[in-house]
Amino acid sequence: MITIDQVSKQRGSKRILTEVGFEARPGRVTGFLGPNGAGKSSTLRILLGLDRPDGGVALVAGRPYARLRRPLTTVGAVLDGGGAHRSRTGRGHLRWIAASNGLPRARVDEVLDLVGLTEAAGRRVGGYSLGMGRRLALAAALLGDPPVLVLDEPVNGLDPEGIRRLRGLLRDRAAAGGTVLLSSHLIGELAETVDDVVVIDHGRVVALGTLAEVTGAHRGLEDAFFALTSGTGPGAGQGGRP
Amino acid sequence: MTAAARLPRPGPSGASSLSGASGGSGHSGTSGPRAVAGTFRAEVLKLLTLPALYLTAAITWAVAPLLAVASVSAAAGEGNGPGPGTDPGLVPVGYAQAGFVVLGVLAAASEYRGGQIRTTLTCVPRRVEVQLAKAAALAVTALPVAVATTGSGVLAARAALAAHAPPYGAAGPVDAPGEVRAVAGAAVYLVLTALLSSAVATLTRGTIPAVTVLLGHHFVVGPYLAGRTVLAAYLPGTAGLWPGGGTGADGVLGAGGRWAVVTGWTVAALGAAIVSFRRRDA
Amino acid sequence: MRALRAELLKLSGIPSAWVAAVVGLVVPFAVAALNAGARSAGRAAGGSDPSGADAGFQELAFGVIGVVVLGVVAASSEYFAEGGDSAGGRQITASLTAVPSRVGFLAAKAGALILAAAVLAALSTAATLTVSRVVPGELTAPLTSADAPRVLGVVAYWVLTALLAHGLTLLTRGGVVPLVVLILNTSVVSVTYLLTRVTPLANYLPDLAGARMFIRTFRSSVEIPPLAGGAVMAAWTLALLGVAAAVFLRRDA
Repeated sequence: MITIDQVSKQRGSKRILTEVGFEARPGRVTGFLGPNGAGKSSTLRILLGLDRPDGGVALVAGRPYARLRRPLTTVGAVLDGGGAHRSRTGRGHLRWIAASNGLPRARVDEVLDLVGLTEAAGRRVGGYSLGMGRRLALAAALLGDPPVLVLDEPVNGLDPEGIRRLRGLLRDRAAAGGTVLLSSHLIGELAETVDDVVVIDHGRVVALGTLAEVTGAHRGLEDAFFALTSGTGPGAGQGGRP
Repeated sequence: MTAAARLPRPGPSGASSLSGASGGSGHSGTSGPRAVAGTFRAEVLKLLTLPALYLTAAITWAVAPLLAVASVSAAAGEGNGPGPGTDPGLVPVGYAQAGFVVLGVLAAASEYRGGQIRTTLTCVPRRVEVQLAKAAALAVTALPVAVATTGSGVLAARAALAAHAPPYGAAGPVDAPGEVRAVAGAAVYLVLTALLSSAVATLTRGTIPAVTVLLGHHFVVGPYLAGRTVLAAYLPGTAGLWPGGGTGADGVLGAGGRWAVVTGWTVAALGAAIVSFRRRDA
Repeated sequence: MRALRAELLKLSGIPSAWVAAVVGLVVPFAVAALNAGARSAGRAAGGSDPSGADAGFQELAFGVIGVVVLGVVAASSEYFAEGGDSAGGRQITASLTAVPSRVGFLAAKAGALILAAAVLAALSTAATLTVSRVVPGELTAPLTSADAPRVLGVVAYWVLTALLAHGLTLLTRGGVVPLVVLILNTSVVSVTYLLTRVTPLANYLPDLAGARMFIRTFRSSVEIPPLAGGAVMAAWTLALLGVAAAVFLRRDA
């Protein structure tokens, strides 16, 4: 369960989030949708305790991320950018992460196998392709076998096969009662995977509900998205800059 | 607040869907000793899997004694060199400082490459604990390197001194306890240098500004100011250059005072790093 | 020309480059002011230069760390980015797609660096020499037109040092090694100076030879005239840049 409540954030004179609020529920995959720079990553970073909100709260399992004792056993996160140092090996990267949360070392090889990186585990991250970097990040997220997954643009850099495997994995997690929140600007991809949709634009939530509710009378999620977010559409663009 | 106040204690692992609800209370810092040990272990692992750190340690260990010998020979050859009071144990500290500056800076700045800092903070969101674990891990890993460097440096410098006639040559028998004290003192000073450097790098979040400021201070500005102003005695590098004793700068501060200056700067820098690390968005 | 403009823009967009500029301006100026104060208070600063002929110039020899950093970041910024959110990876790929001619790219980079270092050197020299002559008054040998070559020598020394740092960084593709080597070597007892105790040939290393362009009181058994010293340093610089360029041209970006 993820709860974002009235979260606002100012960076310099620019207001990047205005009273953002939504929930991601267990057993469902929630898609967090918006154009580039709409505030998706900022929201997720606040959720994960990386950035501080100026107002509002973001809770995972009922508490702020920073209060989780072994957070990886509650939340697994894949953020944009690899999150690994170039000159460490993939296995070395996962090993320190496992140590930080007191997870058994055997778990490292399990997740490497799960994402298909066993072969490359001994190589330095600097030599990984974009897709391999993303799979390493996913492996790190799965280390603690967490009930909650937060993924920022997870399909970036993945090949079709990787996307298919990821989709299956996310659906399985949700079916097993897990909470999955993923952000994307790839609407088509999202429509195939999600149960619920949150649309954000200019730092404000402009629509939320089940996939069917948000799609509404539009032909598909893509049309709904453009109607909700494009500058010309009604109800859009009133957020953002003062 | 209410959720955090509850105190269910599930088993250590296995029940993955429950374990997240274990009772961490308070903001940061008040986590169990096992969690802290995990954080520390992770930081040590990080340091031990960075090739650049091995390289730096190896080069420092190899080059510093050579330069120590060269500086003893140069000074003695010139006739204004190390006086009879010169402690051979302190000679290697000079250039070895550079190696420990790099060690500290790389250890801290490596977090800011590839966005690793975000991974670190999602693993352990308690920021003060992260920084303390980092400092401890750096101290523990830098200490053996420091002992090896100063140990071999002492032997090298003693050999070089012995090669020169008195008054520059080492007179009298080897004073073993004194030698051990000198090595230990110099090693501790080098570890403090690494810690200070990591704190500066945490503040700058980049290698180049940190290396520039620290080396510029330790090797250019500091030594240049020493002897020109008494204030130089209160700077970390120049005060620290000979913290264990010997013929130190100006006699402004005693050995204890110089240790206080070096320790004070290190603690202050670590404190500033922790404060800014806590405040800033990652 | 467009490539040169692009390189100047890139350089001015690196925060570390501005820090370098401040270091290059403030360090020699502040130290010179301190020394000048000591001089006018009747305490001769440093026994090696009792006449004051090198007042200001010695400080400028230390201030060179400003352009060392400048030369390093101009190259290293192409290869790695630090900081919380790096949107891109290595800038070098963008640079070489924008200016595919690698020779042109290197020439533009060197040109931008030479310009920046020369301007910085000129400003810093003016400020430092002024403070070192004005404060102590008659205690320091006044500057005359005969000193003009020395002033040019300082500027040349700074520019050549910046290029050395640049070449070294292009070779190592990282900033730490060149910074350590060059800053340690700017210290009061430099590594190259130690080497002169071992072999007189060390006097022909770039920094020691180049310093002859403007330092008059040199404790050394080897005499090198200013112009020859400058030529030796320039030769080192060209050789290093040549090697760096050859490696850069052959290497995958």
